[in-house]
Amino acid sequence: MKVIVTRSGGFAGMVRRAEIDSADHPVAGRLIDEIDLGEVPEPAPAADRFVYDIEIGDRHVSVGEADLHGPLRELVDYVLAHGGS
Amino acid sequence: MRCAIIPPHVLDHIAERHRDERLRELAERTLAIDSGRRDARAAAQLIASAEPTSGPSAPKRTIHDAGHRERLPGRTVRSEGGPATGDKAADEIYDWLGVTFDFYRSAYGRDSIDGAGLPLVATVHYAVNYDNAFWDGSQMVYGDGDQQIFTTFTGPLDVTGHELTHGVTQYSGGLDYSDQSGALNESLSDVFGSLVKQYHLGQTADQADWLIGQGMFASGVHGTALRSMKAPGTAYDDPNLGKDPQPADMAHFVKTSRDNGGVHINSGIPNRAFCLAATAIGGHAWEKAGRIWYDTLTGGQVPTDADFATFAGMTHATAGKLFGVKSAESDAVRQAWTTVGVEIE
Ligand SMILES: [Zn+2]
Repeated sequence: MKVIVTRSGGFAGMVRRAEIDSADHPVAGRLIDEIDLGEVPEPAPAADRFVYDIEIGDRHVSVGEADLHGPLRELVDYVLAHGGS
Repeated sequence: MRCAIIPPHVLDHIAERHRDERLRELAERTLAIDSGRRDARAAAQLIASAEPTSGPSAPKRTIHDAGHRERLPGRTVRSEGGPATGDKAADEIYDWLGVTFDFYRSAYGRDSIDGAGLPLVATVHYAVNYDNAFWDGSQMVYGDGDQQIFTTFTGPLDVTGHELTHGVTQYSGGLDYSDQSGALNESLSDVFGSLVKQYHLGQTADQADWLIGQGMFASGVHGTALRSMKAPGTAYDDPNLGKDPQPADMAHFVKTSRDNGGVHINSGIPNRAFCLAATAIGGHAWEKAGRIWYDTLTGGQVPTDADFATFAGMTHATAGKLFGVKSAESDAVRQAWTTVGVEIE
């Protein structure tokens, strides 16, 4: 399953994008099984905080930095660390 | 009016020296209506050019260290008047908070972020390799940068001026942090962030670099800063980071869902308008152009969902009130907004 993370916002306002396929990353696959996207709150705009757009297969969610916790946070950190650019 | 018996030079003295805002305002008003020796314009200029002084109002700073964790505020490492810690980031922020506090007090008679002496709280060394700094609604937070792209967020004074100004905007009624109102919110933070730096360096508008975040990039990054208020879109152009995406006028306004509707991108348009107005007016940018923007922001009339045209119209009206509707300052403001493609009705 393709996982794409796009981080925007922050003081710098730069966009950072990273992408992995969970087939090549068993760690990501295990995290995806633990994630409940229904629990993620609507992003509340906050000055200079990062905003994450996360695509997991055909599911998509936008989440504010302050609401990024648990396995979704671990997945985002993992993808940004291993998914290039 | 009773105050008329106070000699003008005493009023001058109060307006220039007194740190109590209400008394200052009374002195300003009295000067403005006083028997013809001065008019409101002169009084406004007098206040705008007030020299920095020590007075009863002083910053109340506390610096914390998050130890690379994400718990706020973290361990206290320096309180107001305390000795330097030896930690570069903590000591830089202690100093920059002081400079920013002094700027708002001296230039606009404002007592801290809320206008009522709010203590200034900052946390440094937040999280691991964190490429950001932000105002969380009650305090400032600084990462160390990842050292690959960003080497510091505490070094450049304008970053602290920018973050603290988010607090000033918040206490002035706020501007919704998305789309055009969000880009105005961002722009105001860049404007006063840059003005704090210009004030600290004693620069006039034509001497200033009008850059935001100069000196943050690691060596090897192709760029001089994060944003250029003078020439939006030219601050960096790097194989890994891409090109500075800021537009310089409304014809190039960027529609995007990212970054809350591109608040850090489209801020380039009002940023340039301010730079153009300040440069046309000349002198120290915080004295006249800065005063116009400051009075507009803090006047309590800016709708939280203001778009560029609404805010532009209000700055023009403020310029008319401060300097006269036919003044060069008022014309400069109108011309600046027109140049970036924002028409004032
Ligand atoms: Zn900002």
